[in-house]
Amino acid sequence: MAEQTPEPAPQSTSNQVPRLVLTWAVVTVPLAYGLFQTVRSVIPLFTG
Amino acid sequence: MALSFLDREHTVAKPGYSRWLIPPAALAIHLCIGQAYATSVYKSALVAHFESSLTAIGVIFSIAIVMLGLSAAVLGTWVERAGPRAAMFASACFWASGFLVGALGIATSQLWLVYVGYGFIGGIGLGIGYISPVSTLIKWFPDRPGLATGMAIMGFGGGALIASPLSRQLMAGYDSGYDPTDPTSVASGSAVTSLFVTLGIAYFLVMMLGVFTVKVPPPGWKPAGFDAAAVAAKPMVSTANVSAANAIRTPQFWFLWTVLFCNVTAGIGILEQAAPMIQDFFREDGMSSVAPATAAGFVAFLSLFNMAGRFVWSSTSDYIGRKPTYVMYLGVGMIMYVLLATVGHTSTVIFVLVAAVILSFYGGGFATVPAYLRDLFGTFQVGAIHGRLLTAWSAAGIAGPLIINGFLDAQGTPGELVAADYRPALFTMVAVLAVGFVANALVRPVAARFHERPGQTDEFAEGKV
Repeated sequence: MAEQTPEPAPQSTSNQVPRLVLTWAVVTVPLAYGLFQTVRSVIPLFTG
Repeated sequence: MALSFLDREHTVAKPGYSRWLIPPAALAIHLCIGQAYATSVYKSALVAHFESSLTAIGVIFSIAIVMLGLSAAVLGTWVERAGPRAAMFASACFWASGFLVGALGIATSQLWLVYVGYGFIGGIGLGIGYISPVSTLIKWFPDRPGLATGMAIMGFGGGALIASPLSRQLMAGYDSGYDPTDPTSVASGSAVTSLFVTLGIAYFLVMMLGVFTVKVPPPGWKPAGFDAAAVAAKPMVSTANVSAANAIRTPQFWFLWTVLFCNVTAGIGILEQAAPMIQDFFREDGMSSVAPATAAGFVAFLSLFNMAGRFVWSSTSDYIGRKPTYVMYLGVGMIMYVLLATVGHTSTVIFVLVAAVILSFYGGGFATVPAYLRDLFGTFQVGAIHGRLLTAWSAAGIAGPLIINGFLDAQGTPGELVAADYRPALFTMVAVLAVGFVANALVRPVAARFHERPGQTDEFAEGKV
């Protein structure tokens, strides 16, 4: 069961900006890599 | 307990927690498990290593997809009760263990161990991971459920886009004799072993980002400016809740099951044979005007539309409604298949564009269905209901290739056919889509006798029932 802990002060959204940037970066950077590589392999479809 | 941080009660967000942290948490899971669609990268290496057939190696993927459907269906209620963090953690453990056991199987040349590892254990990770963020996203984004689930399920498509080139580059690093730019080059078994170990560890770490970031909204939370009454006033949107056990007793569940089954079956018809199909459509006197590199570009182009359709169409469904969205997928899909069969061979531009639209509907069908379920059955056990619905995916994964391969085998060998040989299969897909279209038309709001009584849903969330 959950332990009784004092309720911490509400987080303000602005305090979460670094976490938002970092978390989104971890998923969007690999996705951008995958998209770039895929678009490169699509090129022969339009040039070949 | 050391793992008590996984409990649902420890994942309730404090006031002010940004809901925009939840989509990347969901993406961290789906981008990793989306690797399941990149298995073709090392298929020929495994065939050579085990000295077996393509079919025997293909069984690894088939077991994984069947386990995806089964585990999502069976463990869906546990996922709802335990919460997204525990579910994501379990998914990461199964998915990473699947790779490690699979690596052991490759290193010791025991194919059955790869079946058990990647197929069985990894497949359970796929099923739990696929549904783990769905219910949470819908609760954080009651105003835009299609957008939220579209983002996550887009990640499943995106995972393959990352894993394919990454796996090639890693195998080149582990085996100097392997050339990732040469389609005929085959990596060694030890390179695939190292690849599996690397992916297992890397995916586990990325999935932990999701585990430590995901939170459920506090009871009664709603986004600023959100008017639940306005959403409920939309046609085909219910504020009532239906349990997973009751949902499968409703005709609506089975209509949606049929819709998903038909949409996926039709999409697989193109996906399964994309590369030989474009070459066959433009073949004259035994020679195709489409080069193998161009055909590979076509497959990559389709994967982009498969991924984009998940996000774009699912987000659009928030505005036009879920039922009209499926009218488009299935109705316009039928027209596209007819165009493909009748005029697809006249121009590569027409062929490529029509196939791209079909694949965008295929992806969109996956991404929009959680929001459709939310509209009909409420948020109570939507993840578990979604899990049960995914058995339609497993069934379509068997039916789709059977239909397309059955027709094509009767005509000859894909890669040596002409456009006319594809017509029977394509018109069959039109009929399949028509069945889905009728099933979607029959969907009505769920009868009140299936609704949960007020308070029941809270007791479930607290583990009392």
